[in-house]
Amino acid sequence: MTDGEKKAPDSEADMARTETNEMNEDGMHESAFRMARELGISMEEAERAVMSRSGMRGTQKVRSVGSISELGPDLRGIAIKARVISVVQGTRSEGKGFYHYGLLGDSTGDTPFTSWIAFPFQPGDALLISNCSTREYGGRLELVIGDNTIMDRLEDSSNLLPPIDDVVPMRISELVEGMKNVDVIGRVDDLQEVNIEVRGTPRLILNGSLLDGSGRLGFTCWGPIEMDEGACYRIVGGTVRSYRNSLKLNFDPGSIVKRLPDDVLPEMEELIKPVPYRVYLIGEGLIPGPVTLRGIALDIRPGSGLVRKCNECGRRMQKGQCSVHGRSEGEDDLRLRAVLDDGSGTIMARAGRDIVESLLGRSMASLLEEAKKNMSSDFIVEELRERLVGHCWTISGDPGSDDYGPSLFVSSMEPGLDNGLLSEEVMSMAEVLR
Amino acid sequence: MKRRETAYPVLIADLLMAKDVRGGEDESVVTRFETPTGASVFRTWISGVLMEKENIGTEEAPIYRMRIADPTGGITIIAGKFNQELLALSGSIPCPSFVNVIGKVKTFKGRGGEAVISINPEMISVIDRQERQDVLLLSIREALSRIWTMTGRGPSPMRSASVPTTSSPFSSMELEEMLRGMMSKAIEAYDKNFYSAFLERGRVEIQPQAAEDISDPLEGYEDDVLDMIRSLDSGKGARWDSVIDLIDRKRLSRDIIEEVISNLLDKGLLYEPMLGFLKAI
Repeated sequence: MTDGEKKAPDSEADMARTETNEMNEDGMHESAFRMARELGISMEEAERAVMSRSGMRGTQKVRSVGSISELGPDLRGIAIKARVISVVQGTRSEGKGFYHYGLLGDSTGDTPFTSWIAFPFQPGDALLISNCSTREYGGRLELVIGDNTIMDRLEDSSNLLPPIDDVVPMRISELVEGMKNVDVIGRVDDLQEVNIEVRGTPRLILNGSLLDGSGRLGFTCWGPIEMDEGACYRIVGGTVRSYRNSLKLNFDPGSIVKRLPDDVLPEMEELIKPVPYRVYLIGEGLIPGPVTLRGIALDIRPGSGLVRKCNECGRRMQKGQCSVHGRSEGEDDLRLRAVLDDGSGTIMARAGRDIVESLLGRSMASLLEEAKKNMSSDFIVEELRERLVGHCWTISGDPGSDDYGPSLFVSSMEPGLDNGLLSEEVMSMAEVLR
Repeated sequence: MKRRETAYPVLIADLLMAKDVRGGEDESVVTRFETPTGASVFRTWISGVLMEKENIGTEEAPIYRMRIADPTGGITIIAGKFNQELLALSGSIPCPSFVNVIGKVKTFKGRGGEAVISINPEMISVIDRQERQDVLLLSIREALSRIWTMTGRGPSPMRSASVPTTSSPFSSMELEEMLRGMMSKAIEAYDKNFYSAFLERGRVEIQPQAAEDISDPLEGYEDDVLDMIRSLDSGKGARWDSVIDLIDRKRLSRDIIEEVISNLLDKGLLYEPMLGFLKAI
């Protein structure tokens, strides 16, 4: 240690003098390092202090940022290589022209961007973006492409996110809430166009679900897009959110939506075939497509039997009120809410008119007639209880989950435990008894 | 919201050997019972034959003591005045009949002062022979699946047969032997032909393993694993998790497969073109 260093902490003037003597960059770096060590502060803080004391401001040179994961807030004049994942044209406030926004990605991650200049690129293009900046907007980091930014298309994109055809998409069962820029394939089911209103402006969106054999994933595309029900698509650039307790994919029309040949996935009938499953696996948040569960019916819950349903949404009404649409006439319907225990967990099985009619072996008309005669429909619940509770059932349907735990919307319900499958399962563990 | 406790299907002998674990780490006041096969039970589901029924109360306020038996053993349960609906039903069930019983596990003091395991029944239902066979097979499946996991084989080969288990491994060889005996009894009682097919299948699957035990036990799997990776490879390599998945179906444990794959990587017979992918050379 030199004498100067020993004195430094108790003599700020000394330190300032040394700094002015060392105006070159190396010297400044050294004194910042010394300051950081002796005062126990971070190197960045020390550099700042040294620079401001010597009357200098940080130099503004274009810094090359290696990857998206290294981006921080409020960087100026940076250059970065990235691939366009999605791009959407937006309208500037008060209708003054357009801008572009979307996602950029490389092998380390992805970031949203906004471009205030012409953006003549497509998803999949690899770019070198020089002299752009970052900012925090709406709580997340964003890359800003402004008037001074220069964008070049890159031919060599070896270190970037590989081109889409070289990447294997994720399975639906692998997705978790909060994932961004996901890449999935699936066969489209339940496709419907919906007109909604977003902040006063009407908008056409697409709702549907994707099936890939590992699960079913609901999606919303926030704009009109060419899509056919039953066809296979690859969708890159969406975000996974949790909506009404199941996962949902949200994406913009600017994302990559690529139609795939029909043979990349099994036929729809194969995909919607229920897979044998266990309740406790559903409870763990992994919600697959249709499942078959086998267990014992423990209870029939209120809301079963003869109910009034809302004319508009089909929800069960309580005291003549729909929880969403208020008071209305309503119409008669049959419902079943049964608790099923499969030995690993309990699930609420919900079924509609078809299932109840077949369980009781009677039509709704004859049940209604008897209810009128008795002045009560309680006998329906009693009959269901008699028939179901304490007995084994094999039920299939689409699982979900709500505040009260997992539930299953039943599409078929058979007595017994599927003896054939049980035998197979027991056989598969034959080596236990060697 | 507190979730309803699951009714775990167990074989009676398994339940009778259970030990109670009071309190527990999560400080629940619930007394759980851990069976030797690894079920942590608060509520249980047994299925068997109602063998005897005796009114140990009075004519006006009956209390029924019932004996339920399955192929592995018998258990005494008592239906008292606290569940009138059940009491009425208990009075009307003839002996013998096939029944499903669901209830909370409890202990009472036996004649010698020892703790005897019983069930506080919440539900009893009369079932037919076919349903009883189904539930017996279900209980067998659950017990086998737990033993499978407890003996370090990982989750059951078929996902639809996997069950949650306690973490503690079997304490002794004797216990393992005893459980094998219990399972044999149960499966044989279920169906004699099924039992011999079961034993046959277990034997066939063990043989190749036994032959290879002489050399490095893992080397024997290497060719199999390479073949599988080649068959799953569509150009970019085989997905690591689909390899695991396929091998799971072959009923080897995950540890073994990971070991084999890491050996193959060391030997240079496999490489990873991308993270999560495997390609054979």
